Amino acid sequence: MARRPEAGWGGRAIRPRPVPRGNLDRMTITRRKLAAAVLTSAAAPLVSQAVAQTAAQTPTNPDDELKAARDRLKTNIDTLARQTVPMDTEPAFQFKA
Amino acid sequence: MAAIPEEVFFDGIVALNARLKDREFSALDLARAFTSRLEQLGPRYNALALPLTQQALRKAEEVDKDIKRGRLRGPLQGIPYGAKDLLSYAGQPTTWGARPYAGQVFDYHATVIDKLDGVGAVITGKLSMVELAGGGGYRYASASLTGPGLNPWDRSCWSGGSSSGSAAAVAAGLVTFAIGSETSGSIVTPASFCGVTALRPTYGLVSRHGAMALSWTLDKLGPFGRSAEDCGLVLQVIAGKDGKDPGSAGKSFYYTPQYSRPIKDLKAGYAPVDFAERAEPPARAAFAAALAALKDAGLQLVETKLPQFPYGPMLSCILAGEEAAIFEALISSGQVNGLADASQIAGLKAAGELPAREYLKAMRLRRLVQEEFSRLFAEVDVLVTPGRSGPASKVDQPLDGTGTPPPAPTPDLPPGFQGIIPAGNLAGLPALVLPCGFAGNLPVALQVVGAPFSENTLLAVGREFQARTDWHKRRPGSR
Repeated sequence: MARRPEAGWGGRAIRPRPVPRGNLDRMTITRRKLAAAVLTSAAAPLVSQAVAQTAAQTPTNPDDELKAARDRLKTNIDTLARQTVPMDTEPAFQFKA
Repeated sequence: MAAIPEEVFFDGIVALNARLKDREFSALDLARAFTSRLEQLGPRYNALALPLTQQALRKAEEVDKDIKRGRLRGPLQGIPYGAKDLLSYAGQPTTWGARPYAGQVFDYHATVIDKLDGVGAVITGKLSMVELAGGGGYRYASASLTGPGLNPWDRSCWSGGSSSGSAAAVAAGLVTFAIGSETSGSIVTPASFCGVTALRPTYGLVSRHGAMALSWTLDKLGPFGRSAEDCGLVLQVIAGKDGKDPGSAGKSFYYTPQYSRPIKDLKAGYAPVDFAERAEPPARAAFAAALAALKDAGLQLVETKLPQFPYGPMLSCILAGEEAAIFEALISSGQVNGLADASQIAGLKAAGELPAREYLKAMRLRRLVQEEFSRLFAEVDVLVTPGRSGPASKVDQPLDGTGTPPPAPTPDLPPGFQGIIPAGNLAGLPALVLPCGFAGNLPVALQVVGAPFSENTLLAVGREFQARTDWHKRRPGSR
């Protein structure tokens, strides 16, 4: 998701733009326009070349990959479980040092 | 059309801008030369995602008119640059390096692109990146729509990720500076591997409006350039309050080297083990010489310990919680399977299973990390560590899932500042990467980390280091 413009305070410099639609199901253009944008872009040859390169990667079993990813997640959770946090510690949602 | 000498492609911002103002060549000549070079050599390093040649030439014509009329807009006027392909450019594809988004088009520019446009900088192309900036955790350098990032110093090696194209394009003289992003290591790693100077700003200093979100609480945008000075000049333009970025700190940045504290007044924390035993053997001589150069400059080096937290697992849990929410539609639609890296696909799917309690535990621990770093920066002004413990890995070498070559096991050594990349990102700290020598034919770099909003201090250390060394001036093929 691209970051969305906030409403702002209506100042001169903050002109509301149409909401950007980064989601796959909420694209700003039609499929036909989208295909045209890609095909007419000078990057098209680069993209097709690169897709061929990435396809050369060794295939792996998706189930094994998912199990490995879940195991990594569990290991991380177990590591955090060994940490003690004082009860009055709030999450770090502010970063304005 | 004036001929552009080869060395111009490796000029810094100030030198290049002076040549433009002296009418040695026009901005249009410069843009033609750079766009041609980017289109020709960018694919050689898989660094180019999208050329913006016509846009660059139009902008350069405007710049020439401005210069002719005496409308000078600062040192970035007429300077060619590239932006990581996670930044939106109105009306052109913004792929985020990922096949499922290959045709994505936004109707507005990212704030950083608007700001750079406002001072007359000339965008010449979008630069390649690891898909979704590495979200989910990738195992191979090939995790990108444009193929594995190839290192201009040795194309059999990786350029690093996830800002692969930004670092490679600066190193190869395809752009004068570039914009990249970091969630955890995506500026520091490619800058170290490609031997270019780069700055990861304090969280919130640079607006991320128009940038792909990977983690709302970790993402930062920052410059890659030829020197600390170049990074300071770019940061001055792209930093600042932006109501369109909820994470904006509301602060500006003014690059003021004339007011910096003398380096001899600064105290730097470091861990000797990082530069000796933990560093890969071919890199140790370069790191030792770099430390000696800093000492010669008068920097007071004091042995310091990194506060002990499980930084990697903390960062992974926070990232998992946020990326699973951000990419929910991609994952639930099944289109996540269109990504190039199997480990990344699985990582994104598994991320959705992280309990909220664990995300919040990591965020509460993060508060303690920030408090510990506040205490640490009461004792020292900066921290100095290797950018990475060694040079770039081979392009086909498996990574550890966080975009890092797995380190050699060293169980009996003290930890040093091994976790500084996730730690610095968790605490929102700025970091400056300074090329500091070679390990074989590949560059290695130092990393200088500071307290929040201490960018001018980091840049002062960088300027002093670069006044005494010339590693930042080396270029592939001519060292």
